[in-house]
Amino acid sequence: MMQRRKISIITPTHNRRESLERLLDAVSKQDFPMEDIEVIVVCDGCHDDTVPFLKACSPPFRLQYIELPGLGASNARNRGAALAGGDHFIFLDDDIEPSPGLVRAFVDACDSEDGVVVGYLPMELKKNAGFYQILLTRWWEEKYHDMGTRGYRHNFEDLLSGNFSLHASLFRKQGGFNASFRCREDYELGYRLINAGARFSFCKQAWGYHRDEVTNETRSHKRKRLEGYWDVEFAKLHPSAIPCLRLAEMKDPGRGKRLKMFMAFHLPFLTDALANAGAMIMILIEKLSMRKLWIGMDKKLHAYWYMRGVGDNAKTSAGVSALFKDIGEPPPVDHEIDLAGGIEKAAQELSALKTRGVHLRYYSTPIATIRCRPGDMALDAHDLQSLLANRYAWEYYEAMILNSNEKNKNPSA
Amino acid sequence: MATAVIDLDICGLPPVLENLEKYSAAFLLFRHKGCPVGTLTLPVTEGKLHIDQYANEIIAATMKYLWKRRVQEHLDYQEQETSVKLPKATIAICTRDRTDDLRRCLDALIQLPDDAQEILVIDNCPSNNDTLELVREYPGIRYVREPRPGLNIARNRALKEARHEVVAFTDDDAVPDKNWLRALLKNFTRERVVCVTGITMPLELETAGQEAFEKYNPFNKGFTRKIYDSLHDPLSTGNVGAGANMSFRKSVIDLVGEFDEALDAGTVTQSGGDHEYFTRILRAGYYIIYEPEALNWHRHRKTMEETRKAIYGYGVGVYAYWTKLFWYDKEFTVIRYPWGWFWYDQVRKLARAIRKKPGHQPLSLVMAELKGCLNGPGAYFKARRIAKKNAGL
Repeated sequence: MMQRRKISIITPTHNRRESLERLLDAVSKQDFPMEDIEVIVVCDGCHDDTVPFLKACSPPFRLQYIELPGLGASNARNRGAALAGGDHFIFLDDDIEPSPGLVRAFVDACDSEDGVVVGYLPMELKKNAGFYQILLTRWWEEKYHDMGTRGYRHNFEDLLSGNFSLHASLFRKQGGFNASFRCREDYELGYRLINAGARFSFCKQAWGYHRDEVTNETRSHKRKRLEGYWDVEFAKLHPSAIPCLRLAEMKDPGRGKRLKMFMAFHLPFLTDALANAGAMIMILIEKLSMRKLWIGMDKKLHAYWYMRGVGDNAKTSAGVSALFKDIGEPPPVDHEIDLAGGIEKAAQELSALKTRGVHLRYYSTPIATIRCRPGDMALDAHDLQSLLANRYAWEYYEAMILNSNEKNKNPSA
Repeated sequence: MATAVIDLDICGLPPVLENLEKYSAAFLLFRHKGCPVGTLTLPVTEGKLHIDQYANEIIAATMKYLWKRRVQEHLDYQEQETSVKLPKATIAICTRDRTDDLRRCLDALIQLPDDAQEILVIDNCPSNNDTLELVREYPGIRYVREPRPGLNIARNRALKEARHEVVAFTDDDAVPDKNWLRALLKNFTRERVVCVTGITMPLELETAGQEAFEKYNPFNKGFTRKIYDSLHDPLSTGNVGAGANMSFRKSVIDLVGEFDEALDAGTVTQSGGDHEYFTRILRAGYYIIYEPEALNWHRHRKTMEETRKAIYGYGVGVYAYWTKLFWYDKEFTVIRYPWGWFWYDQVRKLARAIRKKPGHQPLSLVMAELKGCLNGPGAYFKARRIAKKNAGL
């Protein structure tokens, strides 16, 4: 007999009554006992008719809502979680339309106390979508696709807060989201969860449409700037994470980059004007269908706005370099596994080690040194197979051929 | 003399191939567990080919694609999930008055493993009832007559008539390999993948015309699986695949529209309909996968004259489709391609043919292609006018 689970769906919302209505409607169609579902809507700075709508709403599940004066999504999610009575949390953004099997899929996938399950948010391509929309949806598609590939090693950046699930106890043990973060709060929680040994996984069945109707080029530049700003905060809070943050690019900048940083930090009115002009030119470039150029400029502009965000927080180049002071060296790799004894044996050894770095060799031939980046989940047995079949296939193949005589001498191998 | 086409398993190569008296050379396709991993053309002497003397050549031709497979096999690793349920498919063959070829195609199709696929023959504006009579001999194969001439019109009809989720097109002059359909279908796991193409090998190289065609315009696009996504330049679809071996989600028609009725066989543009459609798919942000495990065999045109006509037709079609992109789709950067093709390929081919350099292409084919190119833009405007008129009728 399966244990009965109480589910709390926590949704922060900000002036999107119609989206919210769509979401609640979809929750009422879940193939899950309605008496075991509760939804907590956190209206964060809503000035539209969201609150009257919620007041009048009488769904088949338990619905709670609170009003906040606009404190940001991390705060809203925490306050929602504080109200939640379920033993299982599902965080859904207000622009998501969950599929009927979403709750069931999350509950089935999140079978242990330390599990964090990320759900799937396919984005539909609109007809005559512009370059920006196409690239944006591609980014999401590839991210989810990678997470679903065999042997994928999860990291903190997989905590996509729009649609994920975890046990209430795990969320509470971590103290929830960092309420001071206005952006990057998802990665920040992801980092703490990974370091606490949480097991991340991806569940394609827990899917919902991401009805994102507002993101455009301009918003994404603003967003990049925020990311730059909050990555600096992230770096201050978790110096060990710095090598995995984009701002690691700014460590030891070359002359060109130093000049760019100086300009962006000290003459922002000038560089902003240039960037805005660049954005205007990109409209023309899209009209002329010059894809490659457009993609190149898009990358540059995003890099610029990220750098601006870093500047907003760190102020000067010296402020940026100060961040890198506390990184320290990565821990040395002192485990070694011989693959000559067969892949299964090696995989068992690797699982038993529970290590974040290992040297692989085949008899005496070195194949690779595998090292987890900070924020990656620890090495697991099934990593080995896909690493050898893809990334280190050639090294492994060579080593096997070089040692084929050795193998013939030793029939046990 | 002719070239023998021989299909070999790399793990069980015979030391000698015999009974090749008719041939002066052999075109070998090597496969590993059914997947093509390389081709090689070797000379035949006195009806025999001593494979064991060519170990180095065979290794050079196949190793690039073989070694990773061997590693993955050793590790018992499969890149793609095998447990996923394959979508159901309709196989569509668009044909017109070619019953000999069609019979060979249908004979191979009914040999495919039964995954409840539907086989659909679109008889495009036939001059008699032969095709109908032929299809009647095959119970279970659906026959649909499309009275309006044009390969793209027939393709559109097939997409609309198909009862299953995926529509796999093969030409009437092609013969599918046993694993063809399954290899195509296993790539439709992601919503964004709306088209999967496969590899096409020559069915026979019995005549000079067929040999010339294979040398001039091989359908082989390599032995590596490739994903063409929205970062790939959508205007460059020459290597994505070809109409003789391609499959689509039936829904593709709602996503990017129908095949252009002004392009391809049966119109004055003669070809280009497949590549134009690939471009449209990529431009809209969807993905195409090239899957070399999905193999079929194409019977090339027999006479040199037919081959010349086909090459001319390809020249017309390519320029017609570029004209469409430039003029109607406002893809102005497309002008890079005619220039690149002319300067880096055609001029060189022409010079080599004129100076009769070793390994050169026949001058008549190079000239036919160039002539076709010149006529392409005009042909597209004309075909469009005609298609409009016909649609208005």
